[in-house]
Amino acid sequence: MRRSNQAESGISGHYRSCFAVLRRILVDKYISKRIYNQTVINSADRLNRTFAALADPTRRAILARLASGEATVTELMQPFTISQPAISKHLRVLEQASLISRGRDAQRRPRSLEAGPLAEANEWLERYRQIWEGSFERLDDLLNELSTRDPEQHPRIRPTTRRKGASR
Amino acid sequence: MKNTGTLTVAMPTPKQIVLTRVFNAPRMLVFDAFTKPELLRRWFGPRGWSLVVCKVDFRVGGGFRFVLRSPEGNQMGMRGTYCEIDAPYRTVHRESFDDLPGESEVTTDLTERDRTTVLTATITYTSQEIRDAVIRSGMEHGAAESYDRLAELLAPAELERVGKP
Repeated sequence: MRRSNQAESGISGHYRSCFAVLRRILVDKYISKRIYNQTVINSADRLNRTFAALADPTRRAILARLASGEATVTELMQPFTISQPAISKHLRVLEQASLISRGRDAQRRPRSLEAGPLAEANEWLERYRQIWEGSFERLDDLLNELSTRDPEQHPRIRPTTRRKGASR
Repeated sequence: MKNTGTLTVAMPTPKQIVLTRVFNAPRMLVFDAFTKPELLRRWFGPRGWSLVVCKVDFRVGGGFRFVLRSPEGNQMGMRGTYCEIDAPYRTVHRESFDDLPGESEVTTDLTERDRTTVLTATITYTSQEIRDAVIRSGMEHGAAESYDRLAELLAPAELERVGKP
């Protein structure tokens, strides 16, 4: 780390090159990993909040309504039979999870959908789906193969009891 | 007959994941494919992975041991215990991964409909720890914007269910 750059001269040059080396070491070995981990942990925390907010059917309905455009609290209340304080509570949860935001209009304060966290949650589910779908596509092939065999011939129960030459 | 249905994934509560998938085969066959090691070996695991260890003691109180190997040679082990078996309709087991803390409970239901079988697997994380670990491991694989399935996440049916009576 104490390496000095020959192209640099004087004390400032020495510090500058030291700093550059230090930064490179930090970025390569330490910061990048830490920032990376931090990002992953932050994302996981954000996802937790998103999924917790999405767990409630009323909140999902509010989001579904906002997906078609911004709406005021009064407008959001219309399809529901629940009270205004209850709606406000749900809106607060959604706001804390950054799933919705408030508009600038001081009178109406329309709420609108923030697509970012939803997209992130969605992407997580999509990845989860893909992992399983890979498995299930292979299972489709296997089931196809087993189905086209004589039911008594396929080895699902006891391979040893398979009857040779059973007609299809 | 290839792809008989798309897999849907939903998270009805923060601790549960529900997978639903239709298979173009009778229930008995699907049930066997999920419970017989010689069949499991042929499909279980993400694309490119292979099930190198697959031991199944299929009875209530019995268990299973799987080791999956990635194309790069990384291994991932998991084990489980069967809690409930109602062949060929339903199984309940608890499972855990070697590298992750905690356990999850998996309920697998098979429903036969017009010679196809609907699989519904409900995974309930018994601890926040394992759920977080699962989410984190999913996050580690980078990001790609995808709004395609937003509609699924915000199922329109929800609007009707909680809407005006």
